[in-house]
Formats: sequence, C-alpha cells, structure tokens
Amino acid sequence: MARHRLWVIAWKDALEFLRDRRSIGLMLVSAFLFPLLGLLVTGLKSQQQAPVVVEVCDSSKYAAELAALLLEALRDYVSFNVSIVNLSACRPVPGAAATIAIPPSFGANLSSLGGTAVIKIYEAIGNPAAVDAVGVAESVMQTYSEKMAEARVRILAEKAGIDINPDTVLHPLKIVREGVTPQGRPASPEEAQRASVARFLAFSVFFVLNPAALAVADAVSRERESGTGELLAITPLTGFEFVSGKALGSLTAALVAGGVDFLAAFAYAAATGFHVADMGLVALHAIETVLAVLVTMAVTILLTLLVPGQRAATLVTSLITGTAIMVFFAVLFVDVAALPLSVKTLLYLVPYTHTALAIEAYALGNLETTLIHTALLAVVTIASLIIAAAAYRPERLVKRH
Amino acid sequence: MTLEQMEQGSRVLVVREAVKRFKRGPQVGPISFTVHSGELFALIGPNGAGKTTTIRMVLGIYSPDKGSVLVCGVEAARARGCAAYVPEETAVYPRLTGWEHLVFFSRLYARGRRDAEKLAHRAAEYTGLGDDLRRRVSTYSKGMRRRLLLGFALALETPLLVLDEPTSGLDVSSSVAMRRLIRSAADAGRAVLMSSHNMLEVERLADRVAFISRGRIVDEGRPSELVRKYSASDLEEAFVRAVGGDG
Repeated sequence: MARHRLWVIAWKDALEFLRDRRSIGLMLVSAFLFPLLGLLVTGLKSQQQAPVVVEVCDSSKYAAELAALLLEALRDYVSFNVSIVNLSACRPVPGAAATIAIPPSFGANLSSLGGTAVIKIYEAIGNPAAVDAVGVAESVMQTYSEKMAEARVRILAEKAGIDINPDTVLHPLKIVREGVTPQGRPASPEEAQRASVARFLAFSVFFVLNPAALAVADAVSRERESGTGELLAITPLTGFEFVSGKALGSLTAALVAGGVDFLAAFAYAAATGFHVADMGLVALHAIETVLAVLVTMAVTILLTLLVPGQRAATLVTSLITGTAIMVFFAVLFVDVAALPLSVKTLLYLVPYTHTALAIEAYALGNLETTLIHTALLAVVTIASLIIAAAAYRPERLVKRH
Repeated sequence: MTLEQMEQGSRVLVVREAVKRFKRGPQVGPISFTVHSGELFALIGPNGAGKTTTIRMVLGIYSPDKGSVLVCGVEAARARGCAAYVPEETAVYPRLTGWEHLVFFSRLYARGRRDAEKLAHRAAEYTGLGDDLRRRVSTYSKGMRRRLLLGFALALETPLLVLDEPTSGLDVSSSVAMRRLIRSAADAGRAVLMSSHNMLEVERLADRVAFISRGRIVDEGRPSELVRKYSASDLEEAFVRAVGGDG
C-alpha cells in the first residue's frame, strides 16, 4: 500500500477548500453573525432617537414627581428623546413611540386610601422602541406604586395603632432563588453565567458548522458529479487511501471552521462582557466544532459511497444539516437528561447531540461527561471512515449514465 | 514465435462475451471485440447504446457479470496502470492550476516523488499548454481542458489509451489538433479504443470500427469494408442500415 496517495488526495482537497472563497466567506459571516448582530443592534439603538412624551394633565405634586422620575429613567437611555408636556386633557401624540399620560385626578386618586390612580400608555404598534420605552416606564411606575403602597400601609397601621413593617404586608411571600450545580453544590454567579452562555455557545456551533459541513459533505459526490471520480477510479487508489485522504483533506476545512469559531466565540464573549477565566470553554467549543465538521464529513462520505446517485447524495447532505439544526435547537430548549429513555436514545444516535452536550457538560464543570461525549464523536467519525473504506468500490465514484 | 503467438502478443484488449447488468436500465452485452497495439478501434453508436458501460468494463470500473475483459493479458480490474483514459466530460478540478492538476494525477500513478515529477513534466509537454499551465483550470476553454486530460493520458505511455467522445463539444481547430494527437498515439504503437457518435470523424480516423446499438455490437470491420458491405455512401449511412433504424 502506497500511503503517499493518501496525502496526495488530502493535499488536493485542502487546496481546493482553501481556494473556495465562497465557503470560507460564508463560514466567517455565519460565525460572526451572532456578535455582529449584537453590535449592529446596539449601534443602531445608540443612534436611534425615538420620541417619548410624558403628558402631565394633573397639577398634583404626585404627577410632577412621577413625571420627573420617568424623565430621569428614560433619559438614561440614549435611544429616547423624552419630553414632558403639561396639558389639560391627555391624548396620544402623533409620531411618538410612546405617550405616557398622567390624567387629571391622578394625584387625588393616588393620595386617597381607597383610590386607584390610572396611568394611560399609548404605545405605537409595531414599533420596537415603543416596547423598550414602555418597559422602562412600567418599571419606574412599579417602583413608584410600591412606594405609594408602603405609604398607605403606614397610614393604615397608624390608624389601627399597630406597629408593622409595610414590606411584610406587601410581600407576604418572598422567593429566594439560588443556582446549584448538577451535584447540588451552590453555584457561583460566574458558574451560572458560564452555564447559560454555554447553552448559546452549543447552539451557535450550528452557524459555523453549516457552511463547513456543506463544504465537506460533497467530498465524494463532487468527484462523482464532475466526472473526476471516473479518473480517480482507474488510478491505483485503494479504499483506505481514498477515504483517509478525503478525511485528511476535510481536516483543513474543519480546522478553519474551528479557528473561525474560536475567534467568533471569543468575540461573542468579549461583546457580552462574559469572561472565561481559562478560555477553556471557548477552546473546547472550537474543538467540538472541528469534531462536528469531521463527523459530518465521515458520515456523508459513508452514505454517499453507499447511496448511488447524485440526488440521493444531495438528499443525504440536506438531511444531515437539517438534523444538525434540529438537534442544536432542541438541546438549547430541552433538558436532554430528563427525556424518556427512548427519546434520549434516539437523540444520542445523532452525533451533534454529543457536540452540544459536551459543551454544556464542560460549562457545568463535568469533565468526565465532556470526555465521554467527545470520545463518542471521535468513535462515530472513525467507525464511519472504516466502514466507508471497506465499502469503497471504484464504480461508486462514477456517475450513472 | 508463431503467427498466432505474435497475434496474441499484440492483443492489448480482449473483450469476450462481456455482459453488464444493472438493477435499473437495460443490460449491456454480450459484447466481444479485440484491439491490437498500433490500432485505433472505435465504438460508434447513439447515446445510451452501451459505449460508456463498455468503456467502464475495459477500465475495470465495472466488473462484467458474465464473460471477460482482459487488458494487457489480465483481468481489467487488476490491470491498473495498463490503460489511460480521457473521459467525455471535461473532468477537471477547476480550483487547481493546470500544472497542479498534472502533479496531482502524476503522484497518484507514480511510485515516488521523482517519478511523479518526471511524469508531470512529460504530461506538460504533451498538453502543449505552456505558460497556461500556471493558470487555474477554471479559466480554461473546453479544448484546453481536453488537452490537459489527453496530455496526461499520453504521458502515462500505457499500452492502451481509452477515449470517450474525445472531440465532443470542441471547436474545429481543437478537434483537428485532438485527432492528430490520437492518431499519432496509435501510430506510435499504442492500442486506442475510442467511442464516438461522430461517424465522419471515425471514418477518417479509425482503423476498425464496431457499430453498437442497444448494448450489442451489430457489426465490426474496417470503415471502408463496412461502407461497402452496406452499399452505403459513408459510415453514417452504413450504421443506419446496420442497426435497421434502431440507432
């Protein structure tokens, strides 16, 4: 067996990939999509000057006080252009993202023990800035409402001649939340943040995996379709040389994907202010991406060699990438460990499940589970390549006429 | 050496009652023919007649379900390195340069790096592409791509050269150049098997032809003999008469 042929195939495939600007460009765009979107939204929001009007139609000190609080809170956000107008009758202001109307008798209702003061918010439909402005206003009014409720409790307590803490009357039920690790140990805020970021990182593998998978998935069908498979079929190439060469060639694509992913994850971490003490999570993410690309390559080489015909090969490739997105979405929203055994087994048969679970396990500090999932990915890759090498026949490289 | 032994010795390709069946699609064969060294043998027939399947059996890509295909005296599948091939499609890697293309295939065939380099240089000469070899294949015309493939096939200096529709889709001057190279390969002592549905080209180029229709060889002989046999004005007419309108 002349092993050099293996390297010749790998060299050719690597060269072809590195000159495929479209795939590399797509990989870069996809990988940086998340951080870029974040930067774009933040940048655009900082430029936006959505008009928000606070209408004061009541002359009480309460109305003035609330209006001042609203003005202060909304002005903290550069994206709102806030103004206060004093009117006798409140109405929506045309062109405003949100109009917060403090109606007449607001103060009277608020200051009486049994009254309910009403604030009317006119929110421009289909306007995202309106949603943001209303969110800020509601938060201010909630705090103000609590302050007024406390005052009422104090008055009632005084009238009843009892000494009472208004907070216990207003909040008889308190919820205390604490994050714990899977082992039941209290989780530090860093660990909690790391775990939540890991879920998004696990999902984001898809973005870089998709173009890389498409670039390597047609490693065999491309030869078949272009007719070069026929030329390869008559060379002294063995199945081992062909499949190993293709695998090594795809390693270039996988490493580029891993490198791009590393940079993108790093950018994402930097953009969100998330600091990974040892950069381990970001590095593992890149490694898992490399393995995900390799397992895609191995499975598609095997299936393309087994399934004759270009259409079938294209279908296989689409199925694999489709499955990848389903799994990455599912793992983002579902606790896989809590699924019934039958469903869990099915998910475990999909290699990408292990990609996502390895990243999550690492973020939770479970190194053993990380290694198991990573090893499973490697085993599926190697096993698929071995079977593919055994399934290799020169006639499987040619297009049927 | 007897005349018979000499005759056997010059037989580079022997196809004997070869049959290829497919799960879907018609079977090809039984088919028989022989190509000697220095001879240009053409398979002519319409699309779907079985030319490509026959060629694939000759190249060892398909194993015959019945009968045998011997190249250089051994079963085609084990005769790697005995046949060079130029496919109908311009099967090239567009992102490689012409030179890289030649180096790639040279390394697949040669035993060592030095041999591969020699082979690539020889192929480069045969292609006649000169400085164009530095350019990416994606920038080549169809004729240049075909020259790249034929150049490499000639450089392999195998006893058998197989060409599938070698001039299909080429302009007039490229076709003329291609025919000259093919003829000179046969004149240099190589056995050449080519398929074509360009009857006029075959009539001028081939030493012997076989009419193939519906997976079987309908008739075989020298072009002039076949024209005479079917009382035709040219090979095209002879073919139509031979296949009885089936072609």
